[in-house]
Amino acid sequence: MALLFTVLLAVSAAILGYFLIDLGKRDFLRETEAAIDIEINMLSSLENVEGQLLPYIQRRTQDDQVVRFRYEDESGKWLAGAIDPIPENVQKITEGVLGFELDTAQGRQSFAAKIHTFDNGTRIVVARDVHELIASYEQLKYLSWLIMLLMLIVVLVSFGISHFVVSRINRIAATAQNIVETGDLSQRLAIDSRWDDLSNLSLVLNGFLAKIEDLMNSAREVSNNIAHDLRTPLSGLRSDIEALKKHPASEEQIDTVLADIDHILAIFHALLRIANIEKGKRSHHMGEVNLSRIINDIAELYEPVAEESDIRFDLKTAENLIVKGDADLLFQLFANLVDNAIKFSPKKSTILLSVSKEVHQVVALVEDQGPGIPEGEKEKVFKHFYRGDASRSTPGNGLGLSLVRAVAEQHQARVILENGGPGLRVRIVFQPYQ
Amino acid sequence: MKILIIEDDAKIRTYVGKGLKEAGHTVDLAEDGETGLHLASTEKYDVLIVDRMLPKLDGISIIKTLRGSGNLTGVLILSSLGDVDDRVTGLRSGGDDYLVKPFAFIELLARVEALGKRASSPLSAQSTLLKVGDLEMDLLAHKVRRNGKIIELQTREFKLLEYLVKFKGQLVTRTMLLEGVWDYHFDPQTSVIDVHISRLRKKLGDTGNTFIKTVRGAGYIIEDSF
Repeated sequence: MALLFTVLLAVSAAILGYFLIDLGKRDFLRETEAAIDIEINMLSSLENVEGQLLPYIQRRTQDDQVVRFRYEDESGKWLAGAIDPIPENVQKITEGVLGFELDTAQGRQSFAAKIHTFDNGTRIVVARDVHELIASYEQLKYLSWLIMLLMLIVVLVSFGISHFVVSRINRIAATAQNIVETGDLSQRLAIDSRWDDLSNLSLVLNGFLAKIEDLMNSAREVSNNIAHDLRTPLSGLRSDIEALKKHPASEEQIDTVLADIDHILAIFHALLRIANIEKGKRSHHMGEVNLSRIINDIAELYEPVAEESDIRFDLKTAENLIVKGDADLLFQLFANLVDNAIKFSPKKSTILLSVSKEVHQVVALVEDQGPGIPEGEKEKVFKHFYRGDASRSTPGNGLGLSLVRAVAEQHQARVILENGGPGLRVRIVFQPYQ
Repeated sequence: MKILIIEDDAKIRTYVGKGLKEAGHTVDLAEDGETGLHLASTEKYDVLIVDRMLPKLDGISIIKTLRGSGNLTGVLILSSLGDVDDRVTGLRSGGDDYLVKPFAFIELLARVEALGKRASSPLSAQSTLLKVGDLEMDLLAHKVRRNGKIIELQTREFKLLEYLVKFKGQLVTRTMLLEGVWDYHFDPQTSVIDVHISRLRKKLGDTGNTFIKTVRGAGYIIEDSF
């Protein structure tokens, strides 16, 4: 395609150039010939009147440098005019028009001439100085060549650009095709410069690919983790059932089997719940929720659990802070956070639970004095099934904080993990309630 | 009690039916919505167990039709739709309780029996003075006495005890307690309820766990004969 356009452009440039040169030449000839013809007509009319011709020629020869004459008899003998002798190198320019050079005050210059034979056999040669015309013709010729050259450059450059663009697009297409065929999302489009639009497009497409790869990876990670997380209870279940084959099952054994199954079901339940919340399926279910009440209820519910590990709640709740949301989900969010805080708190420590108004936002805090979360893990802890080094030995399914984030996002609240004195400070910032 | 099970899944229908019969109840079975509605409106039942998704007529429509015709039989909705949203639609249509599949039979039994009890003694007829053995609860004065001695309880502990005493002689599961006493639908990851119960036991002087008994893998019970 690019080649076709280039050829078309080149051909039209050539035609234009030829046309300009040819037209210039024709015009120049026609004008000169017409001027000479006028002279000849003048001379012919004078020739009819006896004795007029010679003085006229002599007079013109004296005043006019542009037009020159040679009047000769039938044998070619000079009678009058400035052309004498007949110049050498007489060229035939076109039919009936001759060209030759003569000496002038400005040096040798080109003349175009026509010969007219009168009825009495005498001949007149009328020559016109055409050096200016030739000069302008030459100028026109140069200009035409210049135009052709410029067009040639345009042709070459446009060929280059289209070749560049087309090859880039082909390369993008090839990479995309390759990704489609191999399913390998780690491939990226090559970017060799940063200034052109196509590189810009490639950058955007690369970002797009990275996003898809990220999503695919997290989906794959989740399914891997499900498979991995379920293998342990499933193999436990399998061996427990196998043990039942040999002896009549005791109630205790059946309870173990049921507990295994309940654990597996709980994981699926949690996953489905997170998926549903992330889908925003329940966003129409929002109402006014008294966050202060929720935090107080949480503290009351978990206070005996905390007390078992000698952990004390430091409860700082401002009265009646209202947010827009779903009470059950928000309760679940803080239950998960407090449950985590209790799990990771050392004995005889304090967990700060607070809800307050900062400027226009309602901010809830859960702060423990546990080991905290290392900076590098702060984003990872929200991933499904992620379990930090500190939490590997504690009970849980690695979905608690995923649910926290899902609920927070559904409520357009931000979850911020900060390092406390020692320990972890979880800050939930709610949008101002209208 | 006379119980009607409307459930299209044959496995669950027979399994639940068999279990309820073994627990001493009379059971009728219906495998689609139309048969179920017909039975429910012609016979007198104590409790209906209704699946949400049924052939011919769905569970919610059955309940709405029954309630529309003034039938106030206790209804337990069974559903694989476990979202709070689904629960709310189920309960708003007139269901009294909602149980998500898969469930433990013991949970179902406890809820069905609680429903039956609620139906047999309407709230208005309940006295404000509850008695179990040597324990007395005055719901109006918010006082608890055991052997004539006043026991100080916090509001939530009082509600917890009240719930257990109201359903004395019946198993009360942990989820029933969470929903009935705390009024939130959520999954506690640790056994928060157990800790509250053990605290309550301590205050009541129930050292051997003989007053509030633990039913392993299910919940708690205060024996009627106590």
